[in-house]
Amino acid sequence: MSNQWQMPRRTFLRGLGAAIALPVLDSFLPTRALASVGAPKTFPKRVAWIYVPNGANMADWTPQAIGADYELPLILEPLGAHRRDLTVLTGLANHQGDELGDGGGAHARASASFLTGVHPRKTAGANIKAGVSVDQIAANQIGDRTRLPSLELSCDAGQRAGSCDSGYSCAYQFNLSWRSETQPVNAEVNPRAAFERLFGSADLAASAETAGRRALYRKSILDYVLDDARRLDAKLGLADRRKFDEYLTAVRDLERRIERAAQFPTPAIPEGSAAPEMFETYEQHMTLMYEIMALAFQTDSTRIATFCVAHDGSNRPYPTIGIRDGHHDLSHHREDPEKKQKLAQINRYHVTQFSRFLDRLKSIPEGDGNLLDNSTILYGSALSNGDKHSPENLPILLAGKGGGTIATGRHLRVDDKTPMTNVYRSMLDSVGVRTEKVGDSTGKLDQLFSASA
Amino acid sequence: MTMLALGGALAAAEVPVVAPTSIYEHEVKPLLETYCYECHGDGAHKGDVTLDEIQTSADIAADRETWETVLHHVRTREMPPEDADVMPSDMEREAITGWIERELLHFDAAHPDPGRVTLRRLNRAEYNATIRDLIGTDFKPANDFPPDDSGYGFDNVGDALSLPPVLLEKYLAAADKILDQAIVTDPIRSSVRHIPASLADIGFNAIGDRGDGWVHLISLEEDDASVELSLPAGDYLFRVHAFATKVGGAVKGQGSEQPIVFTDDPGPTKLALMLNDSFVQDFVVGTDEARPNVYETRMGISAGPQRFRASVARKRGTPEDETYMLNGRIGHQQPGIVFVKWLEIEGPLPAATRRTRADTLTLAGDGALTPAKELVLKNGGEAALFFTTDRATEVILRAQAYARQAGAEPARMELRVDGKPVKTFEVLAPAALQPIPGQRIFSPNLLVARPCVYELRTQISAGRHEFSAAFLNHTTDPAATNPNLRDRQLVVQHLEISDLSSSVLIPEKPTILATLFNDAAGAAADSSSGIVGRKKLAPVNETILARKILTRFMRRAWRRPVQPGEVERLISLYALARKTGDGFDASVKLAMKAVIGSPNFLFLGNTHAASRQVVVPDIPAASASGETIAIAARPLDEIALASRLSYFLWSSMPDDELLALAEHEQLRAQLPAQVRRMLKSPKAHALVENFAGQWLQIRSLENFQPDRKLFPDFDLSLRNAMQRETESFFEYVLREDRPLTDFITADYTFVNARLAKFYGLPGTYDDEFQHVSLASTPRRGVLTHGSVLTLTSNPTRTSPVKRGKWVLENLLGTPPPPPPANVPELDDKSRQLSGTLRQQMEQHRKNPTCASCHARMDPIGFCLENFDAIGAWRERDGADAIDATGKLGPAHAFSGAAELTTLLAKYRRQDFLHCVTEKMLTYALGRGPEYYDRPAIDKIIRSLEENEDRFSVLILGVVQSFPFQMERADSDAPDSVPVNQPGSTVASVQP
Repeated sequence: MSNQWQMPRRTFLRGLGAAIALPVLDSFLPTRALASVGAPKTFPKRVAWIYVPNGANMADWTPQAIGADYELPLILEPLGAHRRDLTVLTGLANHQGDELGDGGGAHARASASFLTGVHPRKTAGANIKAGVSVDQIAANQIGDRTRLPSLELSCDAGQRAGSCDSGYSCAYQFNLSWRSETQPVNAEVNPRAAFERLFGSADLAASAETAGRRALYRKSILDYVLDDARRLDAKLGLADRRKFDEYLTAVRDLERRIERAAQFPTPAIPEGSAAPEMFETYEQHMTLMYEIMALAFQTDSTRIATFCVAHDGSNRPYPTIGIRDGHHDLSHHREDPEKKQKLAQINRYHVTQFSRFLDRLKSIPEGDGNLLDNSTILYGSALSNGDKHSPENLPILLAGKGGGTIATGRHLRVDDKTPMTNVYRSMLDSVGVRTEKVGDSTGKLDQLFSASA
Repeated sequence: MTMLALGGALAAAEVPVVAPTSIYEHEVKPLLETYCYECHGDGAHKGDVTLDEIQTSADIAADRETWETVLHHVRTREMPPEDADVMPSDMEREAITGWIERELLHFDAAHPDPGRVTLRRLNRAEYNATIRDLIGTDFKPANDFPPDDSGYGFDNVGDALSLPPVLLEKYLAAADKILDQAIVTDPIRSSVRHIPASLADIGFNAIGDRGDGWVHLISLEEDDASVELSLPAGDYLFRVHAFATKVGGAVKGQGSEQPIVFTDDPGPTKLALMLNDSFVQDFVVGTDEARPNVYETRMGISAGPQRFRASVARKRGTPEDETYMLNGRIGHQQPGIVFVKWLEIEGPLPAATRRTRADTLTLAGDGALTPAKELVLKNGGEAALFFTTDRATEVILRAQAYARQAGAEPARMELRVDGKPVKTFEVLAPAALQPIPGQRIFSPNLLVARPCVYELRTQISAGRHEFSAAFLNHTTDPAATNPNLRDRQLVVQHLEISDLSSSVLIPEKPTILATLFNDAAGAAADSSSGIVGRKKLAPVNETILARKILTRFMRRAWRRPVQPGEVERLISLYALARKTGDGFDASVKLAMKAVIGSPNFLFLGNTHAASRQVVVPDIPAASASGETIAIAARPLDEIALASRLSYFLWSSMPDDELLALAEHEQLRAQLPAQVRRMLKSPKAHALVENFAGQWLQIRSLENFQPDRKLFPDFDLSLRNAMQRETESFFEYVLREDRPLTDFITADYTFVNARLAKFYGLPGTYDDEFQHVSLASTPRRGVLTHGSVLTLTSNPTRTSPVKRGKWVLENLLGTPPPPPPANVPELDDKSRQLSGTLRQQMEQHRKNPTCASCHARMDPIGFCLENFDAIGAWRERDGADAIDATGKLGPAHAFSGAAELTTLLAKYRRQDFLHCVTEKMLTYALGRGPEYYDRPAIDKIIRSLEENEDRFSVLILGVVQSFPFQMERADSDAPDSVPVNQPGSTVASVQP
């Protein structure tokens, strides 16, 4: 009775979200705004962090010369068109990812410490603890200016079961962003769901009446539940109240987000863009995630983003560029030239994808310039030599002029062992976020700025 | 500091306030000086323990934990260490322990402290079970929730359970999902779910994505790509995009180093589309990678979670297919590798699909219903269902069935319409066990009967019809050596009709909710009409009806009587939906969502009575500092007691009987009878999953993957069998009310054929787990279960240290402290230590930092060395003969597991009973054990001793214990000593 048939060419995404529940917030969103948001008079400044795993083959990464007149090494070659928008940074360190007496687990530590600048507590589950990540520090201060305080993307879903790197909870290895020192922010892996976070889901758009009703009901349930919670809270003793406070906080948090949703209507999908196509390959997945980030910045849905291209310790093969060995295996090359060459190919491949993202940002005009001019985007890894899990002398790039504050087009060598977090403080400056400290920062990286250039 | 003052205050009643007792000065201190100060006094503080700094009784109370440890170690002769120069006599030991006990434990006899149980949310297991019992739906909504943190070894400890904002979102989403599925009010729309294989669940051993989204599945390992979806009932299309490679054979690194060479035509590669464990249809998969095909089948599904699977099973089911593969697996391996890119599920299709489970079918002829609610047909047996249609239509008739094999020919099933034969099928049996002597059996799928779906499509006329499945060829073969091959039977699981010309059915409410709606309708009719017995005639005021339904629902959901006014707030939600234009059911449903999103549903604790008056007056006591502190206790009110009891024994809400008793304050009076009733209920299986699963740690077995090259026998089926063994064993001790010491010494266990073979037990076994004697084997108690031996091993080798630590932690309750920092790990490739593992560990123990703890752990672990890293018996470890000798304390030498368990039961029985009691109490209360629980624990142990250590005595003892029955009158009273950090983990030791 059933038959075989040839797969039709799909040009639209069909129900990709089915396997993964849509974020519940969707149902709270008011119906799509009819008009797009009016163009802002000044252009917002954006900041983003893009993470690649397992270090790099540093010999093919670090340019020989310092200053503006350097030659692009093998890995960075694909960025040729963008060298005037780039700063190559050499000498930075992610100290908190170092062992510091905790033994194995360098990959989990690398991810957990990269944006937090905090040495994560070694635990397989209970009492996880790192620190608030730089993007969330920014989101806490300026996140209320946009519809989404921040956007967290990843191509790797957290591990479903089992243990992660050497006694570390999987929470460390698969999350870059931390909302508080005990609460990682799970990144969105599904491009369709991420797209719907920006533009609302097609289901809801289908019937304004249904969507309106659903939002009303959700709000009413939330009101009821909060009322219930307050009544209960009044009856509790102090000790129970401390515990129960988590519930109240969660309700208020949700309420605030609904209010924000009302304040910032869902933007229209920019001309020429459409809901993401079904992806089949890793490369398509990366491309889609980069595109989501570009759209988020373009529509000013958020100004803060993180993207985990692959989780640290990833052992993904790269058959599209002819590499069948696992990335992690190759990173432990033991100085085998063939493995190092393959590793460099993977590094270069990731840089190629990043370069396309920069193309995309530059294609979006803003005033006399483009979106990249108003952005500061850090790209890099928390390890340099993956074979030794070395957290020093990291491969780091900074793209974008930060709205004219950053002097680009240079290869900067900073003092050895300068913490990564010093760069973050400067990045936060460029988007107007004031901080005294990010993780283990010891100051700012003044060399970045035009004035000191 | 009140914490210190409390201990001091209470101690003050017994001993002089400021100075330590003269007993201490004259009798105890000299002993401590002689035997302890060398390491723990006069400036020495080995293991961070100092014993010479006591000035007042309050100091002792403040450092209660240390003194509890001292008490324990002196009593069990762990201290002073074996190699000490001088040893105390028994009388001297008695002097020390007696003093500590008096000092520590006698302070509060008059006013015991029941402790504080923190308000806590339901954990995942409890949420699922509660929804099951409240709504009557079977899907497990909490499986989407983030994992629960645990403390003190259990995931129901309030201090460790947190509620991040994301969980609130999940709660609200779950409320929507649960009730939208239970009360369907909107027309069901068809949709397509598309799942890339890289996001699907991939089988136990499968390799996964080759890098471009194509996932490998190989037949040797019976790989599958699957996805579990919770969908409305109906007919669905299941599609898979796939191609196969042409040549067969295992590939290096995929379970076997030796490729299989086919001498003849390897034949086609088939992909089976399955629903859960039922085979629906298979396809020969095309081998053109450039033109992969889509394979599609149609299946009827019932509501709730369903697993859609694309599987490359081995070929088997008929005697010719019982060929053995490498690793002893059964069935022909299919040639080639199937690559899958995505799965797609579309539906529900326009068709009214109605499924009738076997237990509600009509049986004609010879047959019987099994406990699993399957209908077993024998000679001439026929299972039928009746249906009526008001017009001529086309239907798909389906039967899901499998066979039990005997004799040469396969079982035949005839599908009949109105008694007339329409189509006959040969029904396959799951592969049989032990067909050929001398062959090993290690098949993952022997355990699971593989039913298939058999269907026909036909036209029927208007009117009433009968659809039936009949068994045609029953036979027996009593002489068959394999017990699975002696009686040919047809086992029917369900019959199903899909009416293709009718639209998708709106599913009925689950029975629990349907009853709730109907009963309330009856009651509402009564009250609105005022005429008893004429319910149907009077028009019902809808708001009154809604109020009735919601009041009843709330009482069950919140596990307490509804307070005046509470339902009014809910009615406003109902009214809102009504006003917005929703129907009655949809409007009630909205209010119900609020009920299960409410903290009154989500939180456990004495929430409703928290504000009531303190009835028992505080009894003040004067402390050393003159502060007035007392911990007054009062009985937990019965409503809260009902929940505490049902979440302890069932991990779920109280049923109507419990709640009604509590409402009438009769529960406490009937506790023993209620506990017995509850333990008999199938819901008490929660104790096995949740208590035993965490106490014995078998829950974590699923995270273990021993090295596949070294342990090719270890696969999903063996792992499952191991888990089932320990669960069955625990359930047996529980249900048969066996002595607790059976956990240590039992010379029996439960095995199926797979595990019996693995353990090397003589005799024939089938797929079912059965009670077997271990008397003639070296195995005794849970310590020699494959589960425990596996989860205390490293992937490549045994770990005597982990095994010893497991015994200390889980059987004796004397966990070793975490290893000191910066001790080099015992690397497998390490060149620093040499010799056998035992010799290496002995060198390790020369380091005095390590010696004191490892001397306790290692001997226990080494006596289990005859069991390898997955628990199989062995005589040698590599080239070395096993030395399984050891000593329990200085006095008792033993060799091997059987002798060890005998010694443990004889000399450490008290410790064991204490350990189990403490763990059970922790689980029952949802809080960590405290020093003031000691009298309650001792009392339970005493009654265990008087009653042959029976399991029920433990359960009842816990239920009747002071901390379980009482609560602090002032819930904010401070704890009297610093509490341990919940969930602190002890870093694992790498030997």
